[in-house]
Amino acid sequence: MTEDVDAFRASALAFLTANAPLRTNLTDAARGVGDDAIGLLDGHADRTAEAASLQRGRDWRRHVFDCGFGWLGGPPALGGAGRSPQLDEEYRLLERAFDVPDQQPFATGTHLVAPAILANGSEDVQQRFLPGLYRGDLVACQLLSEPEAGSDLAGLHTRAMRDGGDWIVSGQKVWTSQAHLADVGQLLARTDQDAPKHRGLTMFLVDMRSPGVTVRPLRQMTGETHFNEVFLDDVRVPDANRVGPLGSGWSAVMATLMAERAAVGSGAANSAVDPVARLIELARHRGALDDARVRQRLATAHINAELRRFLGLRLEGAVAAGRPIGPEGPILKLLFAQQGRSCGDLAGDLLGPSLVADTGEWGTFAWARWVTGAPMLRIAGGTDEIQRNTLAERSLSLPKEPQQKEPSR
Amino acid sequence: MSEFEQLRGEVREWCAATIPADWREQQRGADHHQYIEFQRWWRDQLAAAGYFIPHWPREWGGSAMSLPEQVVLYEELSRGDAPRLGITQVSVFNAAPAIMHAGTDEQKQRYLPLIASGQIWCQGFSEPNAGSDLAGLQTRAVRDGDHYVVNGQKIWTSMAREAEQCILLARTDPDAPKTKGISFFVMDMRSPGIEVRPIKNLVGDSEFCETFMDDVLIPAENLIGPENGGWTVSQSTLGSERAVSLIGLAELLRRNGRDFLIEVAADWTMPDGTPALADSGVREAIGGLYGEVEILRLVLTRMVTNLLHHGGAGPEASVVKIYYTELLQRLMKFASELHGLPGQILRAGVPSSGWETHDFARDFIHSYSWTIGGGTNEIMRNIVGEQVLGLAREPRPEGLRR
Amino acid sequence: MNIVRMSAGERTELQQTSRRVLAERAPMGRVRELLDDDLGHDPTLFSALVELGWTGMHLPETAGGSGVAFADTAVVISELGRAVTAGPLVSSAIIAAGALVLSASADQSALLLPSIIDGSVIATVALAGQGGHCSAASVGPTWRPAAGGGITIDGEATFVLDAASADVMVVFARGEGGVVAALVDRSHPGITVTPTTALDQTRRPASVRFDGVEVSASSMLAEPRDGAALLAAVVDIGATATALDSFGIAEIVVERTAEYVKQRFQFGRSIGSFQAIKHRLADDVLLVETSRVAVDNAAAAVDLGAGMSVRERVIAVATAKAYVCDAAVTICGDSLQSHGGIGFTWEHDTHLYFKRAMLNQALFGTSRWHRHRVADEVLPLARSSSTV
Repeated sequence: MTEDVDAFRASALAFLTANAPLRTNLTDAARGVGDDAIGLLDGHADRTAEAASLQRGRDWRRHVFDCGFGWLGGPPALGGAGRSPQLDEEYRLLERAFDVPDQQPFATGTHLVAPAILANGSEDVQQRFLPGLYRGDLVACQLLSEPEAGSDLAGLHTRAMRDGGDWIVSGQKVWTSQAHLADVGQLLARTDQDAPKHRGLTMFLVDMRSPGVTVRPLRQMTGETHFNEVFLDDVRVPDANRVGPLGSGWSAVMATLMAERAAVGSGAANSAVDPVARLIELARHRGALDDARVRQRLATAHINAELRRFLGLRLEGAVAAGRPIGPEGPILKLLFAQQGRSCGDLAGDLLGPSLVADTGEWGTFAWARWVTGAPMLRIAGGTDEIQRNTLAERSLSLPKEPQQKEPSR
Repeated sequence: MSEFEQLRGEVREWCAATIPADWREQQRGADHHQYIEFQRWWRDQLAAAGYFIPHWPREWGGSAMSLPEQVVLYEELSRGDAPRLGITQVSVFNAAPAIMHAGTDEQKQRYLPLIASGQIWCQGFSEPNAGSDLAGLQTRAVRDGDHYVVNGQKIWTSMAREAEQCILLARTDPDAPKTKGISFFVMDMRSPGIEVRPIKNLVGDSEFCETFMDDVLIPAENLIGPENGGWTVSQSTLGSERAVSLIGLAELLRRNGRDFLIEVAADWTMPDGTPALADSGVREAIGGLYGEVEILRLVLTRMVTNLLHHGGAGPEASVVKIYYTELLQRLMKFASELHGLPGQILRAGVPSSGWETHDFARDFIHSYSWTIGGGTNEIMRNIVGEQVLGLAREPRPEGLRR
Repeated sequence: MNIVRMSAGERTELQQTSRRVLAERAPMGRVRELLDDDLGHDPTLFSALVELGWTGMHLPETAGGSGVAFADTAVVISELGRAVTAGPLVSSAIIAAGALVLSASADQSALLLPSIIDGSVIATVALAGQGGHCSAASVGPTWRPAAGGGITIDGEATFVLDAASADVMVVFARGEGGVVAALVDRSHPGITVTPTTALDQTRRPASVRFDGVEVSASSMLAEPRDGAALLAAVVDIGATATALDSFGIAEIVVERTAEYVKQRFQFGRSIGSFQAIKHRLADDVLLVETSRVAVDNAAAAVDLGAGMSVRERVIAVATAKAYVCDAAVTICGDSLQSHGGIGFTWEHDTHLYFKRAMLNQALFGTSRWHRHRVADEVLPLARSSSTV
């Protein structure tokens, strides 16, 4: 089906212009004006503020959906517009230029969980969950990683045992973002203890308000609590919430992991504020701009940011055209992580003690949040080591490490 | 330590009197033959002064120098910008310790005087398919009456063309686990059936060779240690004395690498004519490298001190090897890049000069022989992880002999 | 100026054809034979490439070229780097010809460009001073006014590529009033070409000395008022071509290293399965992919007639030159390390790539200098004096 993309853009722009103001460019913000925050994860001052922000986001999202721009690539039977999925990406890019309520909480549902439901879920599951995820009625979280199962996700222990028409789930999940906000959790659990690691897993959708679900915030070194532990104590999950056949959980979560890779290249994996522009401003303020080594490092930071941007454009182009993604996914993740580190290092060199103690001066101590957040980039969403494995094994077809027989537990 | 001040003074005077001030320029562009001649001359000078095998007992022709005295000797030699003696590395530091540890009295009588007289030996360990995994070597030695018959191929044999003897590792029991079927021999390099082919390296030198053995006969009395006990014998070549002789490396890197760079870079300019050394980026980089070379000196000194007190060069030596070789590489890379186009002009090498030849681009490329040779830095990191930190070894694939 | 952009399919075909031609006519064995050759390149190869249209590919149709975008001709330049090919094609048809397209009068162009395209004239550019720098303040040759509106050139240009093969040189010279550029015939008696042997024996730089070389007014390409701008533009063409050469090297070295570590077995398994080796190669893939977008961007910027500001061009080119040439050196070093002992031999190809990458790093401006150029464009306040 050929789409008239230009016509779509015109109609989307018309909608957006009529419903939201343009976003003022944060990088143009004058020094000393407004919030100097420069963290790597959007954070809220407290959970009350967070809840209010979510409600505003929800209201906007529902409006967008009800006006026909919420799920352009989805089938009409499920509330979608029945058009090309490319248009969802187009819309998202256009919306970025407008100052709309924060849509980040919905990204997990639409970009990570929905692909798994679409790939593996029954018609009934798709009917019951997809419209809500896209409309903003349902906020999702991921119940995947566990204390004993990080990079080696397939080694997870959370059990689901059959009980009549339900499953009883027990276990512990970790690194779950926005678990406290979520309505539904994408759960990967072991349904067959005897099957080989990858084959005994099944995916479910869990009502996060069920009895037995306990969410405990994890405080990270930036000070925020973006992540949570989730304890599942005999949580009852109806079989109707199973996503795909028994034992198909690994292939179901693959859809999610693939989608996560594609998401990395999109605007999702960028800090809201341009760190290079802020560093230049900081260097100027500190009178360091005629220091040749500062110039070299700033030039390098600029170069690296531009290369990321070019690669991201290439990835976006591939996604929009439906082409398979090459090495760009792991590369962009690695580059983003490197940028976190190198910008933090340069900020530290320019700031000296002001990095670690708040003197009240605008745009100085704010970098502490960046610096303490940067290491997370090398770990979350696939560690740097795993990214390099992926890169080398896919791009160069290098052999995997030989598997060792696991000692029985 | 005032007890060694006298020795220090003696060596210093000897260096000033013996080492020609212009030996580097004399030796620039020396071909292989000229290199060997110069090496022999230098060896003879050292031998005459008792500095050639300083750590050997007097009964074998050594000077019986203690480890602290050897430290002083090597420090002063490097301060005096002595040529690097390469032709007897194998004989003195690899062959002799093995023979002293595992040889019979008769074998010691037979070989040690030859080595003390300066005979050149080579080492037949690595093979094309047995580099880092040396225990996988395939050269075969089959007992036949009072001889062993040897067939196989060795690689990276330095000095094979000049060597009179070779310390050889060969497999005598193909059915035993990998390291338990290897024997250690002394092979006469003039034996029929040996073919030596020099390998040109990437800076144009031909120090290394391939060595082919076709039905070479080795007398049974040339077996050092028990049959199939060769792996253990070969481990004894990594001795304290070898580690101590490396103490001079920091001094050489300091003087011929770092300080030489600072000296010549003083005349280099940026495109607008301002001095390269006025660029604060350059200054910061050199400042960093300066300190790292100081750290090298300290860490080598500490390693040697530990050796003196506790004996044996432990896995810390792997840390030092990694640090030294990668610092050498970083420094030469920086210097080469700073030098820019003029540094890309091809100059002849100075074969007896070791790792710093005053030619940064060449020294940068050549530094890889150190990050690879003597145990690759990847293997060194494995050793550090496993032996210093106790991390688990990589699992071996099923069914493979150890 | 009519620039023809190839389709993706045409680019792929051009790459495949180029690769095949060079594999047939300039394989590694031939490369090695030429290392010690005095001339340093194979004139029959040059003729064959002329026949294929490589010299005229991106030059204007009015001069007999094909008017293809530089961004597409870039494919061929990278292939030449990938095959570590010796020869004056890039010096003549890309860099010197590029200088002519930017500055030559109609008469001068008519005289020279067709001959460059048909290979009967080989040209090169002479500009660097002592230390090999290529900014206006460090141009090597000097000029003074001569009677009749021409100039006289003295002094020396260093690291002039393919000077010994050249018939004609585009010479930049520095003097009171600024930088000028002129066309000089190599056969002029006042010119002495002294070959410089480089670590990279696949290229032939030389020092060119000028003793009272007179240049008539009709051979001037740029007067003092526009000499510096022309110099910067020509350096950018040279820098981009060099970055493309390094990109070709980077790509093939990663490919070949991956092949090696897959089939090299130690400890009962392929060494490519060890994470130390694997992760180093993964980092190199990252460098290749980022270099790819960087050189594509630079080549687009250089496109003669592209509507880009000088600032944008400088940023794009300097970025690519610094980043890609550094990346290639890193990749070659990593390759050497991953190959172990065998990579250290003369017989193995690693050192050929390595040495070429090292020379590229220094040609047409060091990485440090190019990063300073970027800094000058993106940072407010003072320019670094070293980029003047």
